Formats: sequence, structure tokens, C-alpha cells
Amino acid sequence: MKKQLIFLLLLCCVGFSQAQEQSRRLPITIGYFSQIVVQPGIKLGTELPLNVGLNVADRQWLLSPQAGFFSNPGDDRNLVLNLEAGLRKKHSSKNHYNTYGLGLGYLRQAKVVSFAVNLGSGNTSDTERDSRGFFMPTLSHEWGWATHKKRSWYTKLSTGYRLFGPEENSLMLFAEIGIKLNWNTQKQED
Amino acid sequence: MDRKEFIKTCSILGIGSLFPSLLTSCESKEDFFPDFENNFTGKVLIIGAGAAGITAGYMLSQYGVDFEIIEAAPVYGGRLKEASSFADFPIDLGAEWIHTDASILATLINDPNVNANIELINYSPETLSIWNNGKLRKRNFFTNFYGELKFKNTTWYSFFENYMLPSIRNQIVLDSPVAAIDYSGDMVEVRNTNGQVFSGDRLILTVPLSVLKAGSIDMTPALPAAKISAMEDINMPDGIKVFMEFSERFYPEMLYDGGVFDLLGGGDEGEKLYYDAAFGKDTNNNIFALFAVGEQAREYATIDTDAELIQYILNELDEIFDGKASQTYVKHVTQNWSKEPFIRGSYTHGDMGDFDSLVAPVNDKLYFAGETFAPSDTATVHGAARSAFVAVEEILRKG
Repeated sequence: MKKQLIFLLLLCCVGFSQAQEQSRRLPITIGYFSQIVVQPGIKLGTELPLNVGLNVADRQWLLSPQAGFFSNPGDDRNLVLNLEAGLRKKHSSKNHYNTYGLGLGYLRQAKVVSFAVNLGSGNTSDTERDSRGFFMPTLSHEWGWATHKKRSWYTKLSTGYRLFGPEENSLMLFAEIGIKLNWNTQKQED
Repeated sequence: MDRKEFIKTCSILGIGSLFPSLLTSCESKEDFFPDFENNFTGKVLIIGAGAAGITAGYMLSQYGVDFEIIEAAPVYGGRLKEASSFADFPIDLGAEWIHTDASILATLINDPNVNANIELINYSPETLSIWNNGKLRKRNFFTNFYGELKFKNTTWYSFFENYMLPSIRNQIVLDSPVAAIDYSGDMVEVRNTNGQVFSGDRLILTVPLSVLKAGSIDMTPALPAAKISAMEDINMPDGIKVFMEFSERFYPEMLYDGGVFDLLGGGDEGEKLYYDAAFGKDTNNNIFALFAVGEQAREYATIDTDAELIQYILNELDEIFDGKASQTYVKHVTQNWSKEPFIRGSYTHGDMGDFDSLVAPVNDKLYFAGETFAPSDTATVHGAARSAFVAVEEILRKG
């Protein structure tokens, strides 16, 4: 699992090195992040425009590092590190956009295995957790709506596939809704 | 869908269904049974020493009320039953999962002075396969939404035996099937099949719905028509559990017989599930279990002999797992609840119909408790216990 984490970090480095206009302040995305809406969490991320020579007026390649946390209360806590490469297609109005992304991620999960309950008070203690890691490629679609030069709202659906963990591989589905804060207004004015 | 409806729909799975993980985890901590004023000075008869009957007796003992429990079977427990020597961990042959918050165990004991811990398993399997149209498919994704609790080193039966039975054991009369109940006079009189008569001021009837519906107990006067009608509207279908030991583990943590839509919706007519009964236990035993209820249970429950039954099941597993079941089979234990003479089925299933008529006391003498009569969470142990609390509270409050 360490190898996968190192690989992911290397990918991040490559992404940053590819990013255009390093001096620009990066946009920040923050959103409610959950597995199928009901397992709540939060996700933070940013976007780096990629200089791959394919960008045109209404299409842009992006690299997006993200860190998320979600929890299934009483069952598991999950940390997700993900690096997505995506193609953003702006609608003609330029207020709306769609981003299609492919990502490489790492899921760290602390799962409750057992615990003790006190028969006098009902309080629980001695929670035993199993900590394990999974490599998780992702596929995503994001729809966004820029309501302001510095602000846009987005919803995102993504699917991940847990691989190489101690358990069998398994599909995961994530939903996200949040806000994207663009510090550089120049981009909006392009 | 509220939790009660949810449980009704999904308990057919035997272990809840696809979303109890969320429901269980979000369930608020169970409060202790609230105190109330006791205005009652007589004796209470309780028929049935299952979860509801034991809870009723246990509560009456806490309030210092005279009571007697009359049990038809030679053992107490009802649908709480344990196989203590089949594997190197105790196995629940009956109720197995805890369908609510862990604090329910303290609620049931209802004594803040108890200083003991019980270890529980967070039962959230991660490998799920479905067997549908002759094909075995992995559907691990759905396990993300499933999870409940189980005892790690004990069982529901042992929990009741160790923490609730000691104070009431001497008030239980075993081997005493009730033949008739007469509540026409000031006192309630109960006569068993041996002709022995018990009398009390109030009666809490906790026998399974199937026994009530079968008319095994002669009631004088007859139960109100509305109550009989309400009981007839409720189904308590066949139910069977078979635990098998194998020398190798070739199976997933859960194996569901049916399509994904059946899995999501929960079958109205029944359900069948195989599961790893050793999940989370301190054991190296490979114990795979069949749980079937309703229509799907009938094909097993009606097989004449145990030898024929296990062969039927092994043939089925061989087809799914390429013959590995027969090759690695060691032994099994069967619990056919449909053939238990004083149970005759699994648990309440389906629409509850006229619930008010169902649970209403009769003539302020005859009270009803058990999983069928649970104010919430029918088909669960804690639901049965809550129904007992409701009955006891009403008796003691009214005096």
C-alpha cells in the first residue's frame, strides 16, 4: 500500500509541475461528500489547469487533487486522497460546465470490528478498529454553475473501485455537492 | 418508511436488510425503561417463557409483584435458543442479530448497578454474492449499506439466561402447555394439558401468534372478533436455520438467493440467505448457515428427515460452488422453527393490519406481549421485550 501512496504523491508532483501559471492563486472546492448521500463527509480540493496543448476556448484539461472524509457512523471512517485528470467542457453560455474525470485514489478506512457495551449504563467502550487501505481508481462527472465571477456551485457523482485491500474488490459510489471559489477573476473573463 | 415499516419489510432477510447499517448507527441510545407508579397488588400469570415472557417476569420481579410463568416447552427461551457445543463458539439457533442500538442490553436489564460488559460484533459483511438464474455473481457494493450488531462470545439466549433468568427462574413452570384460559370471573384461571390449574388477577399472553391463530388454547369467553380478525390478517410464515461446518471456507460472507431487486426490496413472500455464521467470532471454524423464511423456507421446512434436508442443501450449495460443499462438509445442526410444536413458524411478517385491535387488552385482565405485539420493531427481540414492558406498565399503573 505504501507503494501506491508514493505513486499517488508522485502523480501529484507531476500534476503541479504541469500546471499553468504557477503564480496564480488556485481555486478551492469545498463540498458535502458522501457515499450514496447517506454516509456524510466533506471534501476539499483544488484545480490546476493542464498545459497539454489541447485547451481551446470551451474545453480545458484539469488536474484536481482532492482530500475527502466520510463516515458511516458506528461502522467506519474513511479518508480519501484522490488525483483526478479531467476535461471540462463549458456550455455556450459559459455559466454552466461539465467535467469528466478519471482519477487515482487511495482510500484509508478505519472500520469498527467490535466493542463492549456496559450492561449497567449502556455506554460503549473498548472499540476495536481495523485499519486498512485500498487503491481506488475513480470515474466522475461534475456539473457546475457559475453564479458569480468568483464563485460557482457544483454537483459531482463519482464511482470508485476498491482494489488491493485486505477484502475483496468492491464498487463505491460517491455524491458531492459544493462550492468552488475562484480567486482569479481573469479566468472567468477569458 | 419508518423503522417499523422498514423492519417489517426487511426483517424477512433475517438480518434486517440493506439499510439497517444506517438506521442502526443513527438510532439514538436506548433509554432505560421509565419508572412508573405501581398500583397493583395481585398476582400476574404469564404464559410463555420467551423473550417477552421472561422480560415481563423480570420487570414484575423488579417491582416486587407476585407472578408465575407457565411455559409449554421443557426449556425456556422460546425463539431464543443456543447450540453451545456445535462449534467453538455458541450459536444462536433462533434470534441472532441485535436490530437496534447496543444500549438496548442495558435497557432490558434495567439496573444501573449492574457492572458487566458484553462484547459485540459490528456485523457488516463485505463480501456478498447473489445466486440468480443459475449464476453466482459478486455484489460486494451492496454491503456498504448493511450492518447490524451481534454478540461476539455469547448469544441472545445466554444473555437472558445470565442476566434476567436468575431472579425469576423459580417462578417458571416448564412442560406445562396451556389448554384453556378462563377470564370470565374475577380471577383468570389457566389450565394446562395435565389438568393443573393456575390462577391470577391478570394474565400476560406471550405465546407466538401462530399458536394463538391455531386455536390451541380454549378461551372463555372467546376473544373479541376484532382481535381475532386482526390476528388472522398477520402472517407468521415458516422459518428454518441450518448451520453447517465445512473444513474449508469456499463461500462469501453473505450469499443471497435472488436478484438484486429482490435484495433491495425484500421479498413479500419470503427470503433465503446463506451467511458466514463465524463472522467476527473468535474461531477458526468455518460455519456457513442457511436462513430461510416464508415461501423460501417451505421447501426446506417440509422435508421429512434431517438427512434428506442436509443432502438437499448440500446439493444446492454444490451447484453454486462447484461441488465444494459436499467435499468439505463436516457436520450440521438444524433448527426448524416450523416443526417446533409450541412455536410453529418464524416471526411476524408483512402488513400488521389493525394493530390497535391486535394489542388491546381484553376486559382489563388479558394482556398480550411478544414480537407480534411490539409497539415498534416487530420481529425483533427488543420489540418483544418492549411489548412486555407496555403490558406490565399498564397492569401496574391501573392496579
